[in-house]
Amino acid sequence: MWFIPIIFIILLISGTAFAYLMGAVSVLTFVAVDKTQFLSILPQRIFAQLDVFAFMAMPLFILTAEIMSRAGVTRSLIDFAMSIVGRFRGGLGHVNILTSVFFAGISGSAIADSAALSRTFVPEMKARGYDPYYAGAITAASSMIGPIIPPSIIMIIYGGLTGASVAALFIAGVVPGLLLAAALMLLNAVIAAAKGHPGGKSDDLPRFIPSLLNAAPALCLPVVILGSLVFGLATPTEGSAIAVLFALLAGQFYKGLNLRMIFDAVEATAKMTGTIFIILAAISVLGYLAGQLGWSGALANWVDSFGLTGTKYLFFLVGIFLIAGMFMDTPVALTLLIPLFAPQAMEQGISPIQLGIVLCFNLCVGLITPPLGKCLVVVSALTNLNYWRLAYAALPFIAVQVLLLLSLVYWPEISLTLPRFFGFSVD
Amino acid sequence: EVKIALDSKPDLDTSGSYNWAHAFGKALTEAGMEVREMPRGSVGNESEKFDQVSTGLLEVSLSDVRAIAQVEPFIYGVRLPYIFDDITHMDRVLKAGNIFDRVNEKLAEQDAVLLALAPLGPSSGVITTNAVVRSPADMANLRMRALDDAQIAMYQAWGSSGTIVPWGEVPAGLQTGVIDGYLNSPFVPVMFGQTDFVKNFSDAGVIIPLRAVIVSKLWYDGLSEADRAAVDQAVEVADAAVRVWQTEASERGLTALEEKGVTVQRLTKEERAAFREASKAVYNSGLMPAEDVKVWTELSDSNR
Amino acid sequence: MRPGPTGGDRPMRNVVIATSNSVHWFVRRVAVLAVCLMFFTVMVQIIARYVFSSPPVWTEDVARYAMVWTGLLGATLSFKTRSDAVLMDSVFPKRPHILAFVAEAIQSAAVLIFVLPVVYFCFIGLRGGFAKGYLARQSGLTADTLGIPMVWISVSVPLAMIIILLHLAARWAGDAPDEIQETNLD
Ligand code: NA
Ligand code: NA
Repeated sequence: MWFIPIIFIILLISGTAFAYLMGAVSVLTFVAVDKTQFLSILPQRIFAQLDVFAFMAMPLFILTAEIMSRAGVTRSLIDFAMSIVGRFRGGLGHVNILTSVFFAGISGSAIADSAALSRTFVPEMKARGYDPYYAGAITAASSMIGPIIPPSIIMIIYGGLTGASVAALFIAGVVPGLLLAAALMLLNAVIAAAKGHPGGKSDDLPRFIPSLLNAAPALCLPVVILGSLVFGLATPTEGSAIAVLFALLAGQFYKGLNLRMIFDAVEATAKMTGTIFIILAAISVLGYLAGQLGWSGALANWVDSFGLTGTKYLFFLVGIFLIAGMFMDTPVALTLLIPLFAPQAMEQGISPIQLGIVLCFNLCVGLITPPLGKCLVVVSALTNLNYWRLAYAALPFIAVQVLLLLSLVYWPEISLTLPRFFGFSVD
Repeated sequence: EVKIALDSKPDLDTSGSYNWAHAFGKALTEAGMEVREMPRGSVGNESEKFDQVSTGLLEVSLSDVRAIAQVEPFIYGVRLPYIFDDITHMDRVLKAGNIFDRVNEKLAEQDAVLLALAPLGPSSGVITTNAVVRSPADMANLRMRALDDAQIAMYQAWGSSGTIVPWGEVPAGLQTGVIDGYLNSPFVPVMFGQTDFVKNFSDAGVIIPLRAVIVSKLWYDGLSEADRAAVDQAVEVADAAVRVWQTEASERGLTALEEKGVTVQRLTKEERAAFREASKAVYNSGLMPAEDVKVWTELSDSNR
Repeated sequence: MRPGPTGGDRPMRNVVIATSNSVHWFVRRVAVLAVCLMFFTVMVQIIARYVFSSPPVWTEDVARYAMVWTGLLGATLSFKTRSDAVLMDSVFPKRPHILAFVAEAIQSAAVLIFVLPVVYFCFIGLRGGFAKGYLARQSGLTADTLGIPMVWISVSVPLAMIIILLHLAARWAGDAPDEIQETNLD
């Protein structure tokens, strides 16, 4: 057994892809604990753990965002945000955040948001007299709204791993996502007042009605998705297919889509799904091992030894996930930690829906916390800003996000009121 | 070590299959064997459990009847509506038809053996959000959650309609009105905390919900003669225990619902007969081969 | 990147790379078809439910199996284009430093350790050899609503794994992706 951690570290520092790293370590552990014959479950395990109803919504929501972004929808969203909040002090900061809210409705990924928006916002904010690091930090921080407001790839993964209703998770994410946007805007307003950031002159801002009309197709998409879930017209999977259809139609409204663009979007979807699936496959092997060796029970006992119950237990989990988020990609941390910790949390009487919102939010904070803040990496790479200075500039935003996270833990109602109102069972 | 993969929470009050597993494990332990209960999900889903039984990595599994049907669809006869009056009738049919031998002949190709069919709980009734159901006609405007095409056919035979919804989406489906109800054992709405929105239970006694107890053939055949006798004995003990439990649980399941504010419709013999008559159409809907249906109905009729 | 010694049996290595490339070309198209199949079956499900109010039972299964095919073929696309998520970039120096080859060898070892047992147990059973491998076991089972042998769906597992091995071999034969870009999942 002793050599397993050493092998893990060797694979880690050699830059081995996470899926193969976990897969190899799991296989070697089977051998090390003298359960080699159990390796014969591998093919069936991989198939069964991917053949999951809840995952079906994932590829089609990815495809929706791929089509929408290829259709050139981003500019219309920025213009519309500009027409609403551009005039205030710190206007471009507000626009940056509000654009992420709109973008969140068509994309389930924070990285996609920072990649799409950083090249536009950072130079523009710099030209208007903002500190470029402040511009980069606010872009990275607000991109986290993407996977909190539905659709959300990580919530689909969470739903698939825990059996929680993806529809309920999506609806539960709306209020925390909007609160996050509001909190970031408040912070931006305070900083803008303190540093004397400029606001846009109302005569050079896009006009409200034309920009609204231009953004309307993209803005309708989340309404269509959420509406069909809320009124029980469709399951999340069916919602994702409707979203694809909608994106194809809306794409004609913008730049127009040709077959080449659609093929590229579909291929990118398959590849992205594959990247997630190979991780899920490898982790499922580890999960089987944990069951056979009784690790989950041991972990439960270890956690029990702290004597934490209910909300206290959730605070404890938040601590673990914050640390994990500093070092791991969100889906990676999610697939690794959820099967280990979620069952105990639910035994503690924590709602699977609240748990999902808290943990997804939690891991998204990790996207802008160093040493590995994936959105910071993206912004830094696309704008040539120094990574560590960018991380430093992000600190106030991280503070606000952590405060909101703790509120989500303390007040389950923030997440649960909306799904309850629409008749979803959240317990 | 004999690993028993459970299919439900280890709750002796509400789970018939756990009553079976518990009595079985206890009898094996008393016979000097080492037994380990594997919690639900810890060895994987239905297909994984079956696969591990067939490779010999798992000794005993409480499985979905569907696990057998993917090898021998004949077993689906136990899910024909109103095929059994009660569990003693079921036992007579299974014995008279040598059903286990017939199924095990096919299961042997997958290195598995069917040892028992354990009732999951009391007979299934119609569970609905708002509608009060005392006859098939009461269901005309309802859209019911179906498990598979066989259930869709049954709802259609009753003059209702069915739509396939995975279990995970059922609570949301009931609350949003995608579905108006489903068919299950009376403990289910209580166990899954659905009594806030499930308001009616009609005790129609449609089918006996069953779990298949499947064991690894490699393990079973490899046992010493004494050990195999102990296992066979333990099966009898467990079968007897779960039947005692089921009798007691039938009424308790209904009162448990009533305590949670669910209205229970206790149907008369005549009212049940209306459902039974309407269900006849399912038998010949072509979902099962006609000769299989004939075997089951003849066995059922001759052993009433 | 071009690991492995230079010179030697160039033709053999070219064959491996060419095979890997043409398989990749083909898989890209099949994966695209699988995504489209998923989209169309889910649309059929919606239309059938609301327009004809009679839901066909097979749509959910077909869509789910199309998703499994998408994901597993997608995993080979991800591997070929080196888009897999990495926890930590290699601490070893970049090529042509000799230690870069060590890092690549270690990465390849991880792939082999994970993938080889999967492929092996697809074909060989714990007891009973070829006749009791995963695929042989699956061929005795029937997919519930489709009535087709499960093996046509579960064969996606070994197929994807073998393609990954092929792409790995091509890597050592000197295959380099056009551009390395990580896929963004979160
Ligand atoms: Na989103
Ligand atoms: Na933004």
